[in-house]
Order: sequence, then C-alpha cells, then structure tokens
Amino acid sequence: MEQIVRNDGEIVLLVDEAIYTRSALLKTCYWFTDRCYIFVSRIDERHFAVNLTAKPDGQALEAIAGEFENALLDHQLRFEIGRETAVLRELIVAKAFADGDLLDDPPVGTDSDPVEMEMSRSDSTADHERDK
Amino acid sequence: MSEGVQKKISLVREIYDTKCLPRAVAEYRAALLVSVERESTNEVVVRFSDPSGGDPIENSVRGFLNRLLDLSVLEAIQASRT
Repeated sequence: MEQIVRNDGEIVLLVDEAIYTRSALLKTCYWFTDRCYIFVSRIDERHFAVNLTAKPDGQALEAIAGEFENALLDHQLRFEIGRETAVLRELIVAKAFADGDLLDDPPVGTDSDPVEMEMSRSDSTADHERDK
Repeated sequence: MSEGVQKKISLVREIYDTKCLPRAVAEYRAALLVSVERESTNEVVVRFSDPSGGDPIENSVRGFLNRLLDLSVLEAIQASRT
C-alpha cells in the first residue's frame, strides 16, 4: 500500500482493489472515523485513495495511518478466512440444530458420528458389493 | 480534499451510499448547507457552504464526510445481511 504524506497534515493511502476488497476498506474506515477525518475517492480502475486528516487534539496522524494499514489487512484476512470456512461453519450449525428438529432437511450422519465414518464405511461396502 | 477545503466534492457511489445523504445533511443542517450539484452513475458531486452562504468551515465538511461514510458502511452491512 503506497503512502503519500502531504504538507498540510494529510496522509493519502493508495489502496489496491486487487488485494483489498471494498468491503474490507469500508469496515476499516468505519473503525477509524472516530480518530481521524476520512475521505475516500477513486483514482483509477484499481485504486482507491484514502485521505486521512488529523482531528483537532487527536492522535498523531502517522500512527493512525500505520494502524489503519494493519486494520485493513486484518479485515481482509477475516474476509478470506470467512470465505474459506463458510461451508464448514454451515455444517457445524446444521449439526448443532439437528437435535432440536429445527431444520426442514436433517443433515446427513448422526451426532454420535461427527466425521461420518459410518457413511463412508457403508459407501465402501456398497462399492465392494458392486465390484463383486 | 488536499488543497484546503473544497466547496465541491465528488462522492463515489461505490463508497458513499446516496440513500444516506439526506440523513447526514439533516444532522449537519446547523453547521453546513449541502446541495447536490451533479449526479451520474458513478458519482455525486455535492457543494458545501456555511448556513449564511459563505465558505464552509473546514471541520464541518470533514465531519459531514465522516458521518456520511459511517452511515454508508452501516447501510452496506445491513444490505449484505438481507
């Protein structure tokens, strides 16, 4: 992330959209609007410019800008982990609610068989029978 | 926003949700007059002045933009949940 320091107490961060999603950028901005003034503009097809300006009697802008960059990275990482583990989380929730009969379609397997060993065993038995 | 406070600012729709504009304008009515000068599919250009028609106060404009950003983020989060 490129950082441009302006003379009039303003720091501009160039955020590459190929690395950071717009959602991560928005959430990061939300976390920092109480500490500095933020204005976001688009400078080209790939980059957003985030203008950070210090508030009166606020923290040093250099420190805020550094924390902003870290927070943006955090939000992006959370987004990617969330995407990668979405199916797993859905499965855990489905299993958790299965006992209460809250779901229309019960998830496969039983609570006592969380890794569905029985299913894979019966699958392999069926395969074996077919091979005969 | 770099050369002091500008009277006109372009708000990109990808970031700033114009549905939130009326609420932010209402909240800053005592300190700032905001009018939409031009709208396109990508941006909305707004003009600022102080309530008496003079130059706007720098921090009022910055505070307004912060508030609009906050409201836009909340709107985006709400929209992603529905």
